Amino acid sequence: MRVCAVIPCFQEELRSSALEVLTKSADIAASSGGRVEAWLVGPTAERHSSTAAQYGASILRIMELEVDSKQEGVRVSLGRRIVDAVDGIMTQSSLEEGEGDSSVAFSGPTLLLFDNTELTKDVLGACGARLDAPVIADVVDLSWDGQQCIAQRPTYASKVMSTVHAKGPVILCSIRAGLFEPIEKPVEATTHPYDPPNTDLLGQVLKELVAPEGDTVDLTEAPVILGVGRGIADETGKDLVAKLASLIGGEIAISRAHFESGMYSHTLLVGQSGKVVAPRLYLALGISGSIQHVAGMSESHTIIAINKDPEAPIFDLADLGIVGDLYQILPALIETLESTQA
Amino acid sequence: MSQERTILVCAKETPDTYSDLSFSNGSVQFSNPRPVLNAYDASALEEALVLSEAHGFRVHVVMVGPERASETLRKALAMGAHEATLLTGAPEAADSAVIAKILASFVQQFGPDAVIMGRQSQDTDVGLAGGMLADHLHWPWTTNAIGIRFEQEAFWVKRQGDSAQEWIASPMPCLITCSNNLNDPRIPTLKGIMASKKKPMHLVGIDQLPGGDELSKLEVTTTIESLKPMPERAAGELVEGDLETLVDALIKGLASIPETGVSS
Repeated sequence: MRVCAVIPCFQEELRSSALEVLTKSADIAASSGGRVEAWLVGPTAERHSSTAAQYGASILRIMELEVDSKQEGVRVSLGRRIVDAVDGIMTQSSLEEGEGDSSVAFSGPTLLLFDNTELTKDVLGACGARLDAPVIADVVDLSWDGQQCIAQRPTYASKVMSTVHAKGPVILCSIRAGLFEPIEKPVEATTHPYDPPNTDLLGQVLKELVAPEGDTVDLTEAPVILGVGRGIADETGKDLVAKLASLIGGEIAISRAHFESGMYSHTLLVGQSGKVVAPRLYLALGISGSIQHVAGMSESHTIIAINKDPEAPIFDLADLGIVGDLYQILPALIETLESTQA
Repeated sequence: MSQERTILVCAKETPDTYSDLSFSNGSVQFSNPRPVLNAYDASALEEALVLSEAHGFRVHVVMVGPERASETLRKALAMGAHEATLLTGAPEAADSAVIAKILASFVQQFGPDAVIMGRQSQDTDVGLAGGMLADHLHWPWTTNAIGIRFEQEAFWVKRQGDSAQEWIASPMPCLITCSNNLNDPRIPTLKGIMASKKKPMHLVGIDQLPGGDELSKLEVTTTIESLKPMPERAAGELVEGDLETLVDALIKGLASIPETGVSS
């Protein structure tokens, strides 16, 4: 079998979620005797080939996509083009076998692994439909038993873990970010370029990019996240959180309470209806721990929660719970951190 | 030109996953036994109704489900949808791929100007059906809408991306999937509930749709093999006390995570 890490490339650096997908691909290929491919598609595909080989991909299928990201934005420029690219590489890599290039061509079972960014969520279903292949979205673990793909994924607002099986010659799977430590595994790789298909954008156009100041944070990539809930109620609290974030190198996320308060950008929402994150540390500040919020952060490696209500549900899942008033604790904590760092 | 334009809302019935959950013999029970309209689809319907009020669209709701799901569909009519169709006869364990193929057949026959639906269902959180349906239809699609406008004969969707937001315009017909953060779905009024009883609701077997023979025989290729309670996180330490105690505990906690750069 082959395990293919499908990586949309539109930034200077590969996201750590892409490295995690490569690492998990190498892991599955090693345990099932398969090979690892990286499918690099996008305007910066070419420059990431050495990184993909560094993380274990021995066959690099590269499709440089020419996009006008200013005119089209990331979504419009990449969405449909990625679906066409995946379809194109799948078709061509099967055809090559007929032309005798057996080192590259492949006709056996194919597992396509994606990360689970918003960009991927946008195209994963369409890719599955195009390839008429089963798809398992947002898995926290997966394996291949020789016949089928076996995946674990949280369901029912992360209260239940489901085991899902998928059968077929081609299977697609997206992996939740932050769960697999990227591990380098350098291999010799061959590079195989593909011409981009002529994608019809079907009249879709970017009208406006709305990027509020500071809204460049990609939460799924952040190792330390400060989750801000109802307990932070005003600008004073917001300033304290910002100060603490810069002291411990964290990014700020919000619960639904602040989606409505208008104090923060909507991009920062974590939860079932926002981003799903699994950072090294999730520091929950004045977050009660509603089901919807917990569904977005319960896989965090360590959770520390501060809340004045000792009965707050967030304490049920916190590794460390601090019962107290944020408006007293944060200034004291900041002062201590500043004095030790100075 | 007098022909009325239509928005089709694709909806799903789910268990009330926000009620308490218990396990027995590997299956899950919810304390509220009554199924609900998927919260994300309710947001999609709300948005369709707002567009209908402003621009005169007719709103039709379609659901794939068993006959008893007509009760949930009736709630959508009570919220204000004009008409509804329940597509029956799908395999009970149908996955997103099967549902999308059934919906694609219905949409092709029905010919709406737009499809608006939830970006995922609140029970499985899978989020694939919208993109699948759009690709079958060969329509432009936009996912994760947090705002929708109808302007210059196009649907403008404010989409929440990984960072920042984009306004993307799509000509008709197009498909939009909604976040549940873009509105608060209306609660049916008594008048709405009374009116819903007279609104048309069609029950159509999937074998009656174009390509119905094949739809009835679709193979389900992803299956849920088991459900288990989520492994509980080990109960952590709960610290109460004076400010110094609390801050000390926090510093120790932060120092145990190398990424914070904090030393104790």
